[in-house]
Amino acid sequence: MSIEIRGLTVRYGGTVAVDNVDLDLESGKIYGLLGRNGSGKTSLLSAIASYRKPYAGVVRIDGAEAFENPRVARRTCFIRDTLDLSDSDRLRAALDLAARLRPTWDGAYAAHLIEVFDLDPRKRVSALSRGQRSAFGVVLGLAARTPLTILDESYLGMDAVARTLFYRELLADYLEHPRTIILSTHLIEEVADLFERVVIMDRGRVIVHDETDALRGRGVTVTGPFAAVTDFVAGHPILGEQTLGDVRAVTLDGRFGPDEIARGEAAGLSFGPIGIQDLFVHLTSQPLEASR
Amino acid sequence: MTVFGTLFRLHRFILIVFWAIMLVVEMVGLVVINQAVGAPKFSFWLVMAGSAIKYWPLVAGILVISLHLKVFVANGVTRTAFLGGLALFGTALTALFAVLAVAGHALESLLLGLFDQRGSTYPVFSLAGAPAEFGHLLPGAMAYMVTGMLVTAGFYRWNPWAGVPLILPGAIPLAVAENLVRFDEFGETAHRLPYGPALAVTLAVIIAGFLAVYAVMRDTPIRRTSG
Repeated sequence: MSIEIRGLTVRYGGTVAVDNVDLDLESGKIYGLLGRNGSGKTSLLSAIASYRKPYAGVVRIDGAEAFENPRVARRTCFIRDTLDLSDSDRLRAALDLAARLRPTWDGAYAAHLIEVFDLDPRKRVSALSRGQRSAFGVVLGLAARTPLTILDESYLGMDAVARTLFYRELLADYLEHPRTIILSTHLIEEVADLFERVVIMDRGRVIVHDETDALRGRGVTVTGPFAAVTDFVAGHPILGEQTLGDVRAVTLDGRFGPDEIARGEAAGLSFGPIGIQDLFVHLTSQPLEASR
Repeated sequence: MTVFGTLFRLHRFILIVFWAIMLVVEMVGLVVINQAVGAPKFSFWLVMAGSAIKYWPLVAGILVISLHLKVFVANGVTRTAFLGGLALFGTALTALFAVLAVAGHALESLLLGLFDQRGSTYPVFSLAGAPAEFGHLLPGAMAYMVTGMLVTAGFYRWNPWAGVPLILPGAIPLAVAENLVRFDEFGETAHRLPYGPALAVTLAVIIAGFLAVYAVMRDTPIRRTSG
């Protein structure tokens, strides 16, 4: 499902969470939504999923206004980090309810995911650990098989194994059943390979929306002997750096021409793509106008 | 129909258990009353069912919105569809309660009559009086349920500081029904207005109350669960 957002503003009293955002998301891609705490990610997702009526502006999905649109609602699944379930519900009851209300629900796949994440359907929601709650959210989100699936920080509390299983299942299911998936996360490097496009929010605005590969190509990482790297990068805007003994790795905003790269390689330097996380940290840690 | 059917499915088990407990308490209660004071002069069933038909829908009105709205929206149901299904569910639930209350009274009256245990002021059930009994109990139950919805809608949509003062207008349907279409354990009804106008006013207040619920909830943000 394609998403068209025009002039979207979400407010909480006097606080502007999403500030006049315009954004177009094509259908059939996995989007990464990145942003610091309080940047407006969840508010933007809530408006897309019609959980919150925009203060101003409009969200259109497949050309139709999304808010309180039954056709759009049926085809959208929004899983928040706090599950929208009653604590006293058993998992089995929540699965039954989804099967009853979701026309696209895949019960067999839900059962498979329950097994993958080692969840006990007889348990009550209140008895789940933080990670198990997140895993159950993933079950509800993926098994709904809705054309628009939105997962808001669905990894919270999951251990490394569970997160790996989540990414694996997400990618496998997406390849088998292509749809629009929006994934908001703080674990940027861990999931960056999943994203086809990345949207970065800062202080209620969208400051970057681009192909993941294009973002990686936006900068370069220079690694080598400390002194050689220091000389080479002098005068370039530095996004991030790491030092281990005499080895220094510096992430720069911008590109080098073939001559410069040849000169650097002759000095013992190596060049690699930029880390999305470095770019993210750089863009979201400076004044808003400078980052746009 | 999906919301309506699903809400009934969610409440089916607790409804069966609740009315089964009511039957058991009725049987035990009649024996105890008979042993303690002799033939009952009032309908013990109408005492219990008369309370159940008020407070069960009141609590259901509160819980259905506070617990289930987010669950249905999370499963692809719009607020409007949910509220429409809730209106059907509320009507059917209160009608079921009113039918069970009248049927229970009929059974109690029959049993006490068979054993010649009706007290002097016991409200004897009659088929001719059943529609009037039902006609008083149903709007009363509906009014309590709408009051529950109104009270919880204020708290759900706004913060407690706004929710608390809204309890008063939220209680209007309940107050109107109590004064116009009451039916007590002695079979007495309120006589402030003739039944026709009393019913019309009560139904008008119930409908207005539900429309107010719709106006408050049709674009409410879906609240997050803590934790």
